[in-house]
Amino acid sequence: MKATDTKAVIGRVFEIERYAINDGPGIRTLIFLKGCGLACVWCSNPESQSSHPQLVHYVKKCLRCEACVSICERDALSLESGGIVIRRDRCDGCGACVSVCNTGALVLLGKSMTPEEAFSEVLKDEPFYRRSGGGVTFSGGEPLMQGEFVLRVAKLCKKHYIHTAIETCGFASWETFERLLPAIDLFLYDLKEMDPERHNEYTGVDNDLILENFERLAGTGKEIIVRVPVIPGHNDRDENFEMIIDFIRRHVPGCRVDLLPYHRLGKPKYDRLGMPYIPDSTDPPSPSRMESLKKEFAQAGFQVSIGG
Amino acid sequence: MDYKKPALGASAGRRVKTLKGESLGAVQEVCIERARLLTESYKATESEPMILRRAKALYRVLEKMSIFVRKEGLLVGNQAGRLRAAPIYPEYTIGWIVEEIDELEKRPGDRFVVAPEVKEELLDICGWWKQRTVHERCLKTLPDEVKRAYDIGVLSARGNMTSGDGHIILDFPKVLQVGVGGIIDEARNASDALDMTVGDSVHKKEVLESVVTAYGGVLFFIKRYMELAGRLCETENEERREGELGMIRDTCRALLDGPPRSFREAVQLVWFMHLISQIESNGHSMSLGRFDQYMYRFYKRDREKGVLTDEDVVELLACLWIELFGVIKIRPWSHTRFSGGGPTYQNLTLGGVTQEGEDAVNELTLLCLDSVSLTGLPQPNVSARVSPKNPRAYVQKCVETIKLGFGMPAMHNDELMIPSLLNRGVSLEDANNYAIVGCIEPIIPGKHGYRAAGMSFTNFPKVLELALNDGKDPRTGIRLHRGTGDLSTFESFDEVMSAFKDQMAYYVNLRIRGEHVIDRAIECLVPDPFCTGLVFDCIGRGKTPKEGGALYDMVTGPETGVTNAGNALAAIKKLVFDERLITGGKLLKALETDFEGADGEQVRQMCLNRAPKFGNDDEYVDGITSETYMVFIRELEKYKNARYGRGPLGCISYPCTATISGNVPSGFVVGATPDGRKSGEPLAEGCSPYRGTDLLGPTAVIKSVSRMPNILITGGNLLNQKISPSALASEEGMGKLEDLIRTFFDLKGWHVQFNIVSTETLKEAQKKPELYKDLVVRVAGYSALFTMLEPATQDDIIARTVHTLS
Repeated sequence: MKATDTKAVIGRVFEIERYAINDGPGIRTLIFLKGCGLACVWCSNPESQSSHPQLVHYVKKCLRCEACVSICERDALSLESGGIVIRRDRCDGCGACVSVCNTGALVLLGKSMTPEEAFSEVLKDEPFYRRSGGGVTFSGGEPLMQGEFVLRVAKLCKKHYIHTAIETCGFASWETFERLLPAIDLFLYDLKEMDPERHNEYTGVDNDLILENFERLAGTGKEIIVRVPVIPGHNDRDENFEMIIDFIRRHVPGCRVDLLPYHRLGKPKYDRLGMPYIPDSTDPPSPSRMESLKKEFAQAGFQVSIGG
Repeated sequence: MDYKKPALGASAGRRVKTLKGESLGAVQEVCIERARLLTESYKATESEPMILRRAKALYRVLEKMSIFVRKEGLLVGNQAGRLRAAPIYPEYTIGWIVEEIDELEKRPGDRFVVAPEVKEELLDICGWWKQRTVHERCLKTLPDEVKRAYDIGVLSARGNMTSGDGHIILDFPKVLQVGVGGIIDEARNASDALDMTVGDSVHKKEVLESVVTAYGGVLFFIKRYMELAGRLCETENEERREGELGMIRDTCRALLDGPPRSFREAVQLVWFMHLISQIESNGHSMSLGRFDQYMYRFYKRDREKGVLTDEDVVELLACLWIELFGVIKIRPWSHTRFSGGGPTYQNLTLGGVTQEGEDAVNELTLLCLDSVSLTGLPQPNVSARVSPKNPRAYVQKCVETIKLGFGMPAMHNDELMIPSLLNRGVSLEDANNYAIVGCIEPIIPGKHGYRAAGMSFTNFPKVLELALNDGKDPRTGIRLHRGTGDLSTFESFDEVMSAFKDQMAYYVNLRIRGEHVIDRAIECLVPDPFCTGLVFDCIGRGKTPKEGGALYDMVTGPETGVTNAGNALAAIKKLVFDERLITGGKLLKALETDFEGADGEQVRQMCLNRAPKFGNDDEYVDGITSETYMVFIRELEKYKNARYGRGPLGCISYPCTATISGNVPSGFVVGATPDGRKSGEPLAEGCSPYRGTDLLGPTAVIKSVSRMPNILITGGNLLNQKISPSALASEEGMGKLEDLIRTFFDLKGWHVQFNIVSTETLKEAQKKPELYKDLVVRVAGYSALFTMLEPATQDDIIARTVHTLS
């Protein structure tokens, strides 16, 4: 056994979703990993951005019994008229409050798991993968931020003949990609914005590394599905999509493209996390807009689907 | 097989629309004719043997009841004097009719109009039936202990005492082979061959003669339609309709002369037989069996001859399904309120394997699915058998039909049902040939006795409640069987389990004792000569099905709340004994007070959230749930039914979770339970997870269900799943649903049925979130519990759902 294999690798997982049918072939299990190098203004999974555990409170479930308030050693919780208030500067995510809450009103997002633990969750739906050609999809967050953990879980999957996919924004070192190549069958690669300045404005980072990695990945011949979010008022501009089409046609002609319409389902999560919801005034794109985009991508020779 | 969905021409489309509209629009009313004619006949035959009296009464009804031909109908045969009118069957019970007759028109749902003169006559008829009904016989002969168990609500058998048995499939292939006259000849020959100096030949002769009389009535009935259609044909001005009426007349004439020669004649004969069985008796779940198999030779022959198109077939089948929908059963309000829409559970079984074990799917299978999609009515109840040998085109056609959102077809697993039946002693050929009766119960068509399903309900959480209270029912105060202590005195989980076993053993015994008494009353008072003629081997044995005439006789009655009991026991083990978060005494107190007060609510939340629940792929609770069911199964296996030693194979009872809507009233009598369910709330449906407690999606539910002792649940294990329309929006999504179903069956799941979550459901869930806690909505790359979303987000999802479906 190699020395690196014995080193403890712990993943920070915020959700494992079974029967996922929109993120790769067949019936899949999604492992959502916490932590992302980007902070897209339209992000629907804000709990994925920070790599630390985060406490959330569901007001509707709370009985206001204050058991959580009493047990917290750091005085991070208090009961106010609107429910439990979390002082995030004090909370260290120890989870003591969660363990005394009978109602499930308090939830700690970001569970520490060993690769074996995560894999045992994946294995639960093996019969469904076998039948449907499904498998596991690492998502996030940006799973490449936990590249070593992903690699360990993916290797276990490959050992058990389970298909592996990763959903990535591409913002990681090429070395991280390279290490994963033997263990990942499919890359779901997000391309959001071709204009570097706008990319920076919407996501907090430049897109040069992302595009460079894409080119290199395409060069390896690995299967890629390109995923393009459609965010009105942001990246939803004809010239942006024309550039995306141009770019991917050069590198992965005829590949599958999933167009993902913006949705507001992430909004309540922002509230629970005490984060501001920026794109409040943004409406989802109209079905007709989605259809016309689908047509454009299809005319450029891609296999397009709306919604993955 | 080269199948193309037939396009329906304008005239056929119009006909289907007209007939369906007429049936849906008709005002439900009570029809007095059957009750009147039957009673007149009974009065005139008092000195005769009961089976002959029943045959003569049926004859008289078929001879005298009003008949009609629907304006655009292609099939003839009406159950009552008017469309969607309900006949009355006073021989089973009259009590509720007398009590509820003034209320029938005022019901909030399933209303029936009763004309004043009908009311008067009906009450008069009921007067004669006093002291003569099955119900009254049962009440006189049931042991007190059994009746008190019914009062507690731990067992329920009301339906068995107050209506016909139903739950049977006639030997349709046989009557298609020999015709009505052939059945008469067979009974007559068997009667003539009897040696009248031995055994119970006198009784056998009565049975056989009653068959001859009943089928004589059938011929008379058909002749009346022939004559009526002939008369209408003569006066019809429109040429098209004149031709159709002539065809109806000729079809009836052909059926009088012998077995059917064409697909059209065969459909008409199947309808007559199915209809008459429901004029003879009012038991529900009278089912059609493997229609796509026994009708195929007629279909193929006519198609080859070029006298029938697939469009004709779809039109004719649509007419048949509309007639099936017209079969009405009027029931007491206590029953009706929990089964809105008056379900009759007339099952149609499709697909699977042939008797020889080969792929049974044919063009007619797919035509049945397409025609059912066309009518979109709640009847027939369509069951699709699925075998690995069936083509993908068939399963995808099923998925397409499921996508329409009326819950059909229900999917059944050949790979489990066939071995399960083999294990019960059914021959391989017969097991391969199983068909579904009612909801999900597999039986051997034409060879299986009466009420193969729908015996007594056994209420699992109630048994547990008694076990936790030293045998005493907290609601009624009745204690029939003292226990070994209560939840506050048990020192280990093993003690809890043995208390549960002890109560279960006692009540299973009472259940069987009650069933024997009720079966006896039905056997003596309401033998059915028509049905007897079409169940193998009743004629050969000279016995009715109730006397042991059938080749197979195995029964099952639904168990309600199995998963609640499993969850409750798991909660006790986890919270009281493993983790010691609460004492047994404190939990018992919270249950007694229905989780009253802030403390009580804390206990309830603990029960709900800190103990695992069935349906989440959790070995701890799934294992306990399975063992909970096994406790019952081991007890049930000790007993035989009332036909044991009288001819049939089997004569056993086996488990079943086809609770239909009985999970709701069963919950009324059960106090708060340790799974966090409040007093009086409904129990879980079938083997489905308790509402709102399965949080990990369908694959986890399937894994949990696959841990149940499915192969032993020969009466069927019922799983309902909700699915969002967006999951089926694309071909890819539909393929994934097929994969889900196939994997469930790989894992030896029994049955699954999908409800598509419609916009209406989502809107309802916004209004009543507490009832839809388990509703998961899925959009691209993301899923959420619907009721946890804020209203604006919910609106977005509703808007999107509409988009996906349009």
